[in-house]
Amino acid sequence: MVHNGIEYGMMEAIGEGYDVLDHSPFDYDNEAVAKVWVNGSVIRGWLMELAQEAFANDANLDQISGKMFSSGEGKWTVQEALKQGIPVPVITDSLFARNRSMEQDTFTGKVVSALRHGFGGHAMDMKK
Amino acid sequence: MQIGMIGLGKMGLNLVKNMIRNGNEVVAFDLNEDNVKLAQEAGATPASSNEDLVSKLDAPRTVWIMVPAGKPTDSTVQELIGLLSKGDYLIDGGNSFYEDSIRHGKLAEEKGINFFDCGTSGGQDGALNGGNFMIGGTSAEAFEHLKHYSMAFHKKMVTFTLANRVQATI
Repeated sequence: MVHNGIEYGMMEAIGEGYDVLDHSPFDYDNEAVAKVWVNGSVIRGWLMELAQEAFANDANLDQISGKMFSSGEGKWTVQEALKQGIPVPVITDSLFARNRSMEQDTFTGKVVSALRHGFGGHAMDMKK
Repeated sequence: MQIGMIGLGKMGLNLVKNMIRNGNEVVAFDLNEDNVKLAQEAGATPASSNEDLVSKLDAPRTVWIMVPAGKPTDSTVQELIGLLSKGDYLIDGGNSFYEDSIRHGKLAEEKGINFFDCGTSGGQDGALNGGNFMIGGTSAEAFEHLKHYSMAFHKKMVTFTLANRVQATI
C-alpha cells in the first residue's frame, strides 16, 4: 500500500516534468529524452523505461486522454498518514491530481468564478 | 586526448579520475589548492589559475567547467571566453539554468568558441564510474569532437537531446 503511494508521487513527478518540457519553447523528442534519462541518471528506473516505450509507440501521446484512473492504494496511504497525523504532501497531491483528472470541469471552478463575478464584476466563461 | 578541468569538488574530481583512468591527459584547477593536490595525486597536471590552465593546453583546447551554477559559473565562463580562442571547446557541466547557458553559448559563438551545456546526473559514483551527461551545444559538428574523449559512461553513451539547436548521439 505504501509502495503504491510512493509510486503515485514518482509517476506524477515524471508526468509534470514532461509537461514542463512540452510547454517549453523547444521541440523535444520525448522518447529521446527518456532514453537519455534511462541511462545512468539519478531518475533512471523502470518507470522511465516505460515512459520511453510509451513515447516510442505514440511520440506525443496523442492517442490517449489525461484521465488517470486509480484503484485505491494511494488513497489508503493518505488515509493512514492522516490517521498518524504526519504530512505526505506529494502523495496527497498526486492522489488529488488523479481525482481532478476524472472531471471534465469542476464545480469548484464554477463557484469561484461566480464569486469573483459577484464581488468584483470579473469575467466568467459563459457556456455556449 | 587532453582536457582542462576547472572545479575539483565532489563531481569534478571524480570526473578527472574517470578521464585519467580512460587514458586522457587532464590539466586541473580549483580555487581550493587542496583539491588541486588531490587531482595531481590522481595523475592530473596542476594549474594555478584559469589562465595557467588554458596556457597548458594545446589548441584546439577543451575546457570542462564543473563549478556551482549561477555566479561562480558565470564569472568562470566569462573569463574563459576571454582566454580561449576560435575553435576551442568549452563545456559547462554545472547544471546551469538553461537561459544562462543560451546566453553563454551566444557569447562564446561570437568568438568562434564551441560551447556546450552539459547537465549531469548519476551522483559522485556516476562521475567516477559512468553517469549521465545531457549535452546541449551550439553545433552538431562541434559535438563530434567530444566523441574522441574516452570516458566511462553508464552502459554506452546514448542520445543527447539538445535544448537549443541540435541533437546528436555518441
